[in-house]
Amino acid sequence: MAVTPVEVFVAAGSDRWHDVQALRAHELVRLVPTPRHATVLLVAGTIPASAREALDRVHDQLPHPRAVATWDEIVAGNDVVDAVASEIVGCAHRVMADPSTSSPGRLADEEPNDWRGVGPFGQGGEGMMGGTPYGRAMAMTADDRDGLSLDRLELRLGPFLGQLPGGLVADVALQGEVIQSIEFACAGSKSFVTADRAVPVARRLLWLSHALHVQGLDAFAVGAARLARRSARLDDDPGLARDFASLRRRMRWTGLRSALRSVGDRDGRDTLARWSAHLDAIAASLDGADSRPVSADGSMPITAAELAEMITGLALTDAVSTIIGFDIDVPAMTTAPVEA
Amino acid sequence: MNEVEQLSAPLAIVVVAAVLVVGVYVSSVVDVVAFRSVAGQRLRPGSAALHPARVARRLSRQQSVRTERPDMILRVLAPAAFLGLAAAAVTVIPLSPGIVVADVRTGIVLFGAAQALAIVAIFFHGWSPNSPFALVAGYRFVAVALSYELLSMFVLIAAAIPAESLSIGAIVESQAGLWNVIRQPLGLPLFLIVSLGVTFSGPLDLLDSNDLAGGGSVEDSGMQRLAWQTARHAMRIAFAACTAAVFLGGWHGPVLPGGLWMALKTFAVVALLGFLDVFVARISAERFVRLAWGVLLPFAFLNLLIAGVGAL
Amino acid sequence: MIGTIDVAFVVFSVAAVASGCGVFRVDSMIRATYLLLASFLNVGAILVLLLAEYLGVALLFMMTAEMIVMGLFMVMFMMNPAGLNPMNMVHQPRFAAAAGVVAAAGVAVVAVFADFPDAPVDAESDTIRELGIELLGGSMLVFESIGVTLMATMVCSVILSSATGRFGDGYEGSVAPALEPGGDHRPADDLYDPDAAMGHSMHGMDMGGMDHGEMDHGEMEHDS
Repeated sequence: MAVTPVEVFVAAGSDRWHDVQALRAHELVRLVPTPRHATVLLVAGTIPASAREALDRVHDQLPHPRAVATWDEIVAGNDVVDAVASEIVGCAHRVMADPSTSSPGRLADEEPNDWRGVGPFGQGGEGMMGGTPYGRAMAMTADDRDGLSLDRLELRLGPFLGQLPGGLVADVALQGEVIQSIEFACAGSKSFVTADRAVPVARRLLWLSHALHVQGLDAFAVGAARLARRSARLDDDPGLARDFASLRRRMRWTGLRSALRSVGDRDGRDTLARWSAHLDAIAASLDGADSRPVSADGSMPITAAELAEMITGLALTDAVSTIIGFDIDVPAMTTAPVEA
Repeated sequence: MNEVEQLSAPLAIVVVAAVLVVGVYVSSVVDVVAFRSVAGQRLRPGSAALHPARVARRLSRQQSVRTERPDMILRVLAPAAFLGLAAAAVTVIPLSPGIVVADVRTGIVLFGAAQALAIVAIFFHGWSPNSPFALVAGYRFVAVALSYELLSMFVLIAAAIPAESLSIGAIVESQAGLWNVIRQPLGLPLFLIVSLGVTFSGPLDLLDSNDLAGGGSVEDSGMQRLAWQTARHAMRIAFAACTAAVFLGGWHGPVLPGGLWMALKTFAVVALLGFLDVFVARISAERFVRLAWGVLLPFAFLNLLIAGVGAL
Repeated sequence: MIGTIDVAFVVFSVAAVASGCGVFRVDSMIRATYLLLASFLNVGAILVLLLAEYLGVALLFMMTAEMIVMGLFMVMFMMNPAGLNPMNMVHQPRFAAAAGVVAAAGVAVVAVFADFPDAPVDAESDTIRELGIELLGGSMLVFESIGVTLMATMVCSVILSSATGRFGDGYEGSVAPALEPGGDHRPADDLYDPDAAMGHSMHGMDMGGMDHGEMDHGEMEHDS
């Protein structure tokens, strides 16, 4: 191969998000965490109307030369993932060869809001600082746990954020790195975020691939994605269980256990316990046992409100690790009927 | 004092540039090889050897995106300063018995100052694009960096005690009989942790990390990204060379010429750092801060005590 | 005849003064912090020119670490990336200007009229050793040991007094006694006076319903 892997940013709807992780196994393609690093934008799954503008923004954030590929429009033979990867590589080569065909911006390149500040340099609105410059709410002070007055930054973690499951939207307020409040966009606060049903082993392996990527183990994520592709192709591949066991053994040496221990404690189960439950379920499925209808953390499924409460007060790293530790079912969250 | 001749300015620039250019390329290739071997992909050494050049070519043709209201001075300064500080750090390290760009009497302190200023440059990189993820990554990195900054100084001072001098050339000469990795066994692991931290790799990849959508590099593309990656590899070379000089005996070694030994040792450390970058999961900032102040700092003190007792 | 050293001295001095002035002219805390660092770096360079090598390089190192800490606290208190929202950085400008002029005049008087020694340092002499002996003399080992001990004491005291201390969560261990004997201890939010803790007195924005009093500190998730 005479070229480097094509860097792709994935904007996936919640129904295709797991399938997209299988691209990690492909050597020609590299999934990047931010659109600025990417050459190709892969749009996969159904994008709800509320996320259309977000998709346009993400598209405009890709640097030129850029191309767009859509998963659902790709005619697939046997292997959808291979077809998608080839299409991505094709798009990338075409646009690199002729940068003038780079996909044009979808939104106007202008300031989203007018400058609105008081005083000659915009200061003097509130205390020492300008009022609402650019219409963007500035971080203002609020008290925190220790009685300090620290700035509080409010962010929306959008539907296409690489480290969160596709389609998940959360409004967070940060003080420093610590989350002061978080609210998930879902059908209701009583919506369950994890699915209480049997999950095929390929999907669990794809969850593992993404989770390893978030924890900084990209090379292991490639290994997990490869196992996922193999398990999706053949139902009885005898080497699969053995290879998974060897992957799990190698994961022990990476320090992942100590990184996840006592993160996101809930009733004595921390993220490490949830990971172990996932991995045990994968091993059991590969060994031939029926894939048990056990929910992601082996205990009662969790609601969005409970998850939000668990995350409040964690640092952003630990919050992301905790969220990833649950195999969140975003379609169920956003469409499930609200529990009475 | 030092018997080595001080190099003239043009020659010094050439030497440092050569070390950094070759080192950055080799370090990038090591990264690719480490990734492929851990991921179980085919190694394809030819493709790996050309990988950095291809990546550089592709990034040079990509647009360097400008965010809404960045601090352009700092945005340009950050990779330039990071690279410059790596070069400054390389100047005080003896590359062979006869070649050292500037073996100043306070070499260790200068290295520490370059490291501290590198932290400033890294913070600028996170702060300047006016983006929340980059900002969070930047100051998260600084919080962790303050913890291992102190570790590095204690470890280097302990290595300076048997040499009775703060210059790295003297430290290398003091290892003629016994390498520091043997008589101060705690020093090397601690310094490797510091190296991983300053080059934000492996367990301390808290800057450009995947859990913050690319962290400090979230708004980097094109030449900006290439410059930052180059500077990061250059700093890795500087730290690897310092590790080789201070702990692994520098240019001492039988049979082969000193410069070649230094290159081999530096390469070994670079390979180790590259492997740890791929193989070890990220540790959270808060946990590392506790670890650094509660466990690693006492080890550094113990190392200092061992060095002091050895010198009595 | 003007030598390299004279040129270097002038360059560093001008840069130090210029970046010092810049501290008060820029409109963002981070820029002010790091312009101050630039000023210190130039002074450190001047010290190296004076052959006070160790002092110069140690100044570079120490000031960098200090400005990093200051910058971190600035960002922690004021999450204003890249100065998107400009700020007015100065308080009481007239009084400060007057004080500055007086201080500068005093320093200028000292610089012009004081009798500085004329003792050029031999370039080969071991200034570091001489500096060490001058500062610490015969008590060097004692001072160094005390330094390390002080460092350990500071670290230990912070660890012990932080929220999750040796004997459990600080908020559980250090609650106030009851108002009457035999009663319940006062809850943690009763100890906290929101009006006293407000730094910036007014912000009209709705913070999204974050009521500090409702948070139960004992259940705060923190890594142990």
